[in-house]
Amino acid sequence: MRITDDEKFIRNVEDLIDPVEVHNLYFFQRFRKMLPNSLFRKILVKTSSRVPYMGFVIEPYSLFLFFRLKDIERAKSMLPDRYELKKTCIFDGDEPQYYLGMGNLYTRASTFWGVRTECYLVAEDKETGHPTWVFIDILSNTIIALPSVGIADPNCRDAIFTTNAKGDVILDVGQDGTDRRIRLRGNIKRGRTRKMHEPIWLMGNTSIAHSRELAGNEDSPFTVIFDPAEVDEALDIPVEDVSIDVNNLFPGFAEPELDKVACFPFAQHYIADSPGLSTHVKDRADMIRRYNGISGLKGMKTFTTRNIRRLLYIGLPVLNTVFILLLILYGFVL
Amino acid sequence: MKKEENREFIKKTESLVKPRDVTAISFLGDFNRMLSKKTQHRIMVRGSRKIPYMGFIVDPYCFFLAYRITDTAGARAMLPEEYDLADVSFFDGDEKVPMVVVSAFTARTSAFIGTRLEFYIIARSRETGKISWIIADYETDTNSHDPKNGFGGYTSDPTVLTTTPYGELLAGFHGREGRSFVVRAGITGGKERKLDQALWVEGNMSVDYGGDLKDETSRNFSLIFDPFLMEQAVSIPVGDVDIEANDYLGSIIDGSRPLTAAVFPFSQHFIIRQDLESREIRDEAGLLSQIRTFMNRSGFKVMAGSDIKKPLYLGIAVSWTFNLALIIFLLFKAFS
Repeated sequence: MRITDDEKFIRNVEDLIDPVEVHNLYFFQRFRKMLPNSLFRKILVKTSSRVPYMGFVIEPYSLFLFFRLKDIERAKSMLPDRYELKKTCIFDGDEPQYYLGMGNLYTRASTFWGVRTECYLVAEDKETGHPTWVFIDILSNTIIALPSVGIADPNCRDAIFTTNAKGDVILDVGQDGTDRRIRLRGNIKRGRTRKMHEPIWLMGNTSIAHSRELAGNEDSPFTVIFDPAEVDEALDIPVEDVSIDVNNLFPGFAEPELDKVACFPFAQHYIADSPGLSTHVKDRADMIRRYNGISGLKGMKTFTTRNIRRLLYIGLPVLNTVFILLLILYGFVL
Repeated sequence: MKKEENREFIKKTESLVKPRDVTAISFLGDFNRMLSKKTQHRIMVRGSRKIPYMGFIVDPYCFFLAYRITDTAGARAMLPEEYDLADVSFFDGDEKVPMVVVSAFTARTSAFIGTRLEFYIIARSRETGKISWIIADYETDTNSHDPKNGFGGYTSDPTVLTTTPYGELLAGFHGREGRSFVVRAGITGGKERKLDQALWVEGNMSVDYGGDLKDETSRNFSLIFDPFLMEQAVSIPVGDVDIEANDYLGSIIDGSRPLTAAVFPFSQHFIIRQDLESREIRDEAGLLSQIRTFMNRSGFKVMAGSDIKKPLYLGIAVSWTFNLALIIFLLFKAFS
């Protein structure tokens, strides 16, 4: 099976991302605290059923760091029962290891926009047999979707992930209210394009789960749909070209030295399941079939804050009308 | 600038751009559009005095096309009075011609995040003799401000500016007036070349508005940046650029025939000093001096969502309290 039109897919993904809607959602999200979590999750699931797809773009130069795990038992204990810790290689032909992965991304999506440092373990979904990325932590300066709470507030006011004209990457992400931080400098110019290990980069992205702590009662993985070419190759960055100044996110959990560094030099375009939904992709052919299906869609619905805005715009005049009516009433009473 | 200084400048610039502030500013800034243009201008001037610096980060793979101006008299008429057309080239050693530049980029700034397509006529200031970029038209998918139209929302929908795993750049802008700019370019066949410093370093120190955006309130402003940023870019063979549509500035260029194409593969970090006088930065030394001032300055006010949110929350709280007090008062009256 072949990709029929990658440009249409990319344009559909981009169409699902409206900066103005992201701004609005971000603003209204602050009022979420007024609602109980269970009610908020219900609203979220209802919205997801109307808007099943989320556009998700990872901007160029996403940087993936891999450290060999030291505390295997702790890693196993972090996984929901459905998953089993698994060795993997990052690039094709390397020796498989147990890894702690850290993906550093600048993202644009239908519902958020900003820097994310995602920490993962690699496991196998015992129900489907698929390799699975299991989130064990997410640090971000933008909204975070989590099964346990629905949508969580940003947890990093300080979050820098950028490049400069010299080909340097600069990462500095620190969690608010704690001393947890990852800070590094690197240079990607000596990176060599290599084939990625397909099982984890292709099928692994169809099965993305959360640790016991982040999953709540929801252990089903979610899926992203994409052109397999997005993860076919990446730059293998020599580990000596990346200098970690601080990394205390998981002390003692993994070796402090980097084992592998991968960098994707171009943007990557994904369609993700909306929160609470779960698509099952069987294999590469099924992925391409779904990809081609989305490429052919026209006028895809995206998240919108239109209803919330209507409530606000109607609510304010109603409030003022009540006020004026009371004044008039007061006049009559007198 | 030394490598370490460059990194620190980048970090400080990034610290001026925080999604939680930008989104609040963008959302609440929409209400500014309801104000008169005069009031909007007053808000801008007052804001510029209070908040000295604005971060402006251009994301990787910003794309530039150069066009030879075919109607120089028409182009000259679009410039503010103090400018004349200038002959320039993108790259060092190329033939210099009167030029329109098109730039498609995604920017993260202290006030907005989103994609822009900008059209510039390259001019020379009669007063200083320096090159200037004159913004003559633009499209955007996020909020914006220009001296002629004041605060505005998005002008282009849908909008695409991205790269693909096949090493292509896709740009697609569709303006409200039925105009489009749709381009596909292969960016892996390019090679790094030295940029013409007059256009890129000197020119970015002097940016102004012209064409339909020309306005008496327009003020020449400067970008502040490490000159290394403009040392080189990737020169893209024009044969690798497929222009499906370019409906802009059609009276002075042939939109289907670009002269040169360039891409900057990495992020670019700029600051705009809002309280700076026009043309205060005259040369590279002035640029570096401004960077040093920025790096040494601390405790200055930055654009923050809370500045806009606080009065809003206060307004809502006062309104609710007033209404509640009135209801209690009326009930008291009714039953007493």
